[in-house]
Amino acid sequence: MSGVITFLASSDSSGSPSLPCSDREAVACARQASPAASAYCPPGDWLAAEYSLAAGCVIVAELETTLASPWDQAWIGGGFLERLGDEFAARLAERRSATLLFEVLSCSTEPDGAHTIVRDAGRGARDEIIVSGPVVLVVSPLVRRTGYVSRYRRQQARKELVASTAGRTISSEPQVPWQAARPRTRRAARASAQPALDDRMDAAFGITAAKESTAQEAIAADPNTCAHHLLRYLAHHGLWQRAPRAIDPSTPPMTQLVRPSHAHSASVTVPSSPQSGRQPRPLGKTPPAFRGPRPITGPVAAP
Amino acid sequence: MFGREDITREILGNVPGWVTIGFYLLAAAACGVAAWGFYRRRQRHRSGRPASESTPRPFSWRSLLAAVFFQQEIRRDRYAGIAHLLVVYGFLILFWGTCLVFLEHETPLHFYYGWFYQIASLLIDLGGLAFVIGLAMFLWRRHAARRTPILKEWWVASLTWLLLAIGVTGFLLEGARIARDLPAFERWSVVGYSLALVLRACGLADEGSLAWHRGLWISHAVFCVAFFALLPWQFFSHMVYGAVSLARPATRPRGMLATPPTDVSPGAQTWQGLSRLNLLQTDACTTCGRCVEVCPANAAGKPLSPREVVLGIRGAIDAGDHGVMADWVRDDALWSCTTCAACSSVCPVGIDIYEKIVELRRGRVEAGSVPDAAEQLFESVAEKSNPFGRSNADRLVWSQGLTIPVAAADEPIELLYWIGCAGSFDPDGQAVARSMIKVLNHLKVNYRVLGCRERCTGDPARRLGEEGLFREQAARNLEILRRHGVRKILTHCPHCWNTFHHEYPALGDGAGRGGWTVQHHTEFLAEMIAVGRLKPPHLADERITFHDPCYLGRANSVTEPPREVLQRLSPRPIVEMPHSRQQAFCCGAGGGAMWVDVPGRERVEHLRAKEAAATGASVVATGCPFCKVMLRTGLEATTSQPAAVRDVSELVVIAEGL
Repeated sequence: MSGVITFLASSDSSGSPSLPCSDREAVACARQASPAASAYCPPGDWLAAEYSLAAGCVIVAELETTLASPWDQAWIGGGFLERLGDEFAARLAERRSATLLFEVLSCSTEPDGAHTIVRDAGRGARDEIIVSGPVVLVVSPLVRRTGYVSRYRRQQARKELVASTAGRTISSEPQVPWQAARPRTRRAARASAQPALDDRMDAAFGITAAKESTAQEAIAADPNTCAHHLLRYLAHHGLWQRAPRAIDPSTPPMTQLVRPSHAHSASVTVPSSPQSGRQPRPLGKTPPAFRGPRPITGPVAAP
Repeated sequence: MFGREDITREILGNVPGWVTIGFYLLAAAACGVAAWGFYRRRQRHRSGRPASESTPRPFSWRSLLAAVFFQQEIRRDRYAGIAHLLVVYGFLILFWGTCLVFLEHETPLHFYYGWFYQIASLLIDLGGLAFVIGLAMFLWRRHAARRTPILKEWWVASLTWLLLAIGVTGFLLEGARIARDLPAFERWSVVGYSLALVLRACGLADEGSLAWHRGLWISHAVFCVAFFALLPWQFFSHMVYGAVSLARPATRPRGMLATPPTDVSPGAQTWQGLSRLNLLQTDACTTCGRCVEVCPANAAGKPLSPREVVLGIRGAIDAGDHGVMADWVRDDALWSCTTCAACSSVCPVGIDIYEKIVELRRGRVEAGSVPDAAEQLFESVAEKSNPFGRSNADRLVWSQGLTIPVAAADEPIELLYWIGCAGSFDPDGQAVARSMIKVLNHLKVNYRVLGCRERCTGDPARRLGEEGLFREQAARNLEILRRHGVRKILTHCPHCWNTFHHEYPALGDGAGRGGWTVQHHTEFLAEMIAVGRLKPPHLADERITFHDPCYLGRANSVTEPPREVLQRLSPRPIVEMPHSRQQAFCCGAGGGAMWVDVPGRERVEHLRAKEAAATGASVVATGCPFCKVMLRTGLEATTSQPAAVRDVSELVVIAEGL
C-alpha cells in the first residue's frame, strides 16, 4: 500500500463539537489499511487533529497543505464533507483519476492490489464492488465501529499538539463549552435529509440538473461543455486516463505535524514524479465558476 | 534439667551414615532449588508496575499473624476453615518437632529428654493427627463431595496425597521405632505407641522390620525433600504468597479503585502492566472457587469466572511472554463484571480480583477494544456529560411543580444535593429525586442543586476502564465544586457517593481534596429521625425487605442507617434476604452493566428479584436508583404480582404524606 490518507472534521450538529462516527471510522479504516496513514483536517479543527494523532496517524496536517506522496486510498468522513461539500470528494477523485464511492462500509485490499469495497445501498442492502487503482471512499454513517481511541491517548495527543504549535491559539483543555439552561431545538436528523446515494454521486459531478430536466436530450449545451462533461464521465468510470499535470512551482510550503519516527521522506523533498505533484485545490481558492455543480446549459469558463 | 535422661529416643538409629549424609545433601539441594524458584518468581512479579501511591498497601505484622495463626479469612467457610486450621497447626507443630530433633542431633544442645521429651512427643503426635485429619477432610471434599466449587485438578490432588503420605509415613516410622522396645514412657506418643502395639501384634516389630523401617525412613525423607523443592511451582506455594498477600491488606475501602499515575498509559494490555502485588496475588490463588460462588455474573450464566481471570493472568506470567492479555482472559468475561467486589470480599488469600478486572478493562480501552455499547457510553459522557445520551440541559425537566433552589453562578453552597444522572434522566431515579426534594423542602434545609451544571461523576466510565474520561469529568466537577465552595454533598446515588467520598480525593496533586463531607441520603434520613426532625408514622401493615446496594453495603459498610429508617416506618421487623448487608447479591447494574449487557443464561436482576420475592415482602426497599430500576424490572419479569419497589426516601414521603 503506497499511501493512505484520510480526511476528517468535527461537527457541531449535536450542539457541541464532536467527531461524527463516520469520521472516526475513516481514520480507523485508513490506519487499518496502512499504519503510516496521513490525516488531513480543516484549518483550526483541533478536535479532529487531536483525534487523528491519538489514533496513530503518522502525518496530521491542515487541509491547506500539499498532500504527501501518491496515495492509493483516500478515506473521507461524513463530517468532513458536511463542511466542505460532496464536491471535494469528486475533485479529489478527479485529480488522481480515482474511483469515488459513497456510503462505504468496508474496504479490503487483495494481494494483487484490487480493493473489495462493501457499501450501503440503502434499506439494509449492501453492494460489493471490486475496484483496481486509486479509490476515494466516503464512509457511511452506518459503518461498524472498530477501534476506540481512549481519552488518555487523546489527552497525550493534545499535549503533543500544544507543544508543536507554540504561538498558535489553542487551549490545552478540551473545548467543551457550557450548555445553556434552556433546551435547544433539535436540528433535523441528517439521515432524513440525506439524498439517495446515486443523487449524491450525480450532484458531486454536477449532473443533477440533467435528472430534473424533462427535455428529451439529457444534456443540452454547446459542444465544448458537452465534451467536457463526457470526458469527466469517462474518466470517472475508468474508461479514459487523464494526462498527468505538471507540478505547479508556486506551491506554498506545507504546514503539518509529522511524527519524527515515521516521517515520510517525500513530505520534505520535491516529489520525483509529476503524478505526485498534483494537489487538490482547497475549496477556498477555487474560482467561483468552478464551485458547485457546473451548469449544463450555457458557456463554461475556461480552466 | 528435664528429669531422667533415659527418657528420650534414638535419633537416626537405623539409618546408615551415608543415607544421612545423602539426605542432608538432598535437603540442601532442595532448599537451593526452592530458593531459586522463589527468586525467579519474584523477578517475574517485579516486572509489574510499582504500587499506586494513592492506595498504599504497607506490610502489617498484625495482619500476617491474624491471617496465619488465627486463619481469619478462611474461617468463613466452616468446613474448609476447620480443615485448614488442622492442616496449618499440624504442619507447624510437625515442623517444630523436626527442628527439635535436628537441634538435638546436630548441635551441642541437649534438651530432648525427660518430661520435655514426653510433652513434645504428645504435642507432635497430636499435631500429626490434626495434619492427617485435615488433609483427609480436603481430599474427601475433592474426591467425594458432590457439590464443591474447587477446581478439581489432578496435580493439586496428587500434591495433597503426597502431603498425606508424608504424615502417614511419619506415624508409621514412629510406630516402628517404638515397637522394637515398647518403652512405657513412649505412651505419651499416643498415636505412635498405638501403632507400635498394632505392629507388634502383626509381628512386624522383629529384627526383620529394620529393613522396611529404613525403607520407610528413606521414602519419608524423599517425600519431604520433593515437597519443599517443588514448593515455588506448585499449589502449596500459597503458603508463602497467600501470607504475603494477607500481610499487605488494602488500606483503601473496597469500593475504591486505585488511581493510576498519569504519566503512563493506564491499564494492563500485557501482564507486566499489572502492579507487582497484583502479580504476586495470582500465585496465592488456591482455586478454591469461593469467588465463583458469589459472583452474580457467573450465577447468571455469563462468561465471567473470577477464578479464571486470576488463573489467566497466572498463565500469562508462567508463559513468560509479552503477549496481550486478550489471549489469556476473554473479552466477554471482562465486560460481564458488575464490579460488585463480592469476589474480593470472600477471597481467603486477599486477592483483589475486582481491581485486576478493572485494570484489564483499562488495558482493553487503551488498545481500542471495547464493546459498541461501552463506546457509545463513553461518547455520551464525553459529549453530553451523562451516560443516558440526553441533553444535559434536560437535567431538571422532571422537577416541574417542585420548588428547587438552583445555585447561581459562583454562589457559595453549604449543602449541595447532588442529583446524579439516574436521578435526572431515569424515571425511577427521578422519583427518588422528587422524594428527596420534598423531604429537604419540608425540613427547610438550606441546600442547593447545580441543575444543568451537574455532570456525570465519571463512575461508569471508570468502572468500564476509561480512566482518561473519568479524569476529565472529575476535573470539571471539581472546578464547579471549588467555585461554589461546597462544604457538604448529599446524594442518593451510592456510585456518586463513593466517587465523591473516596475517588475524587485520591486524585493526584491534591485536586480532589476539596474538604467536603459526603452523606448518603439514607444516612441523612436516619440522622433526621434520630434528632427528631422527622417523625414519620408507621406505614400501613407492609412487610418490607431491604436490598443493600453494593456500593453502599459491601463497598462502604453502610448497612444500618437505611434499616433504622425502615424499621421506624414499619410496624413489623424488616425481613432480610438470604444475602444481605456485606453479602448482598448484586442487582446487575454496576460496573457499566446497566448499558453494556453481556448475555447469560439468566439475568442477574431476575436472580435477585426471586430472592426478594421469596421473602414474601410486599415492599422491596433500596437506596440506589440503579438498584431500584433493576429490581423493579426483575420482579415484573419473574413474578405475577410483583412487590412494590421503593427507595427509602419515597417510603418516608409516603409515610409523612408530603
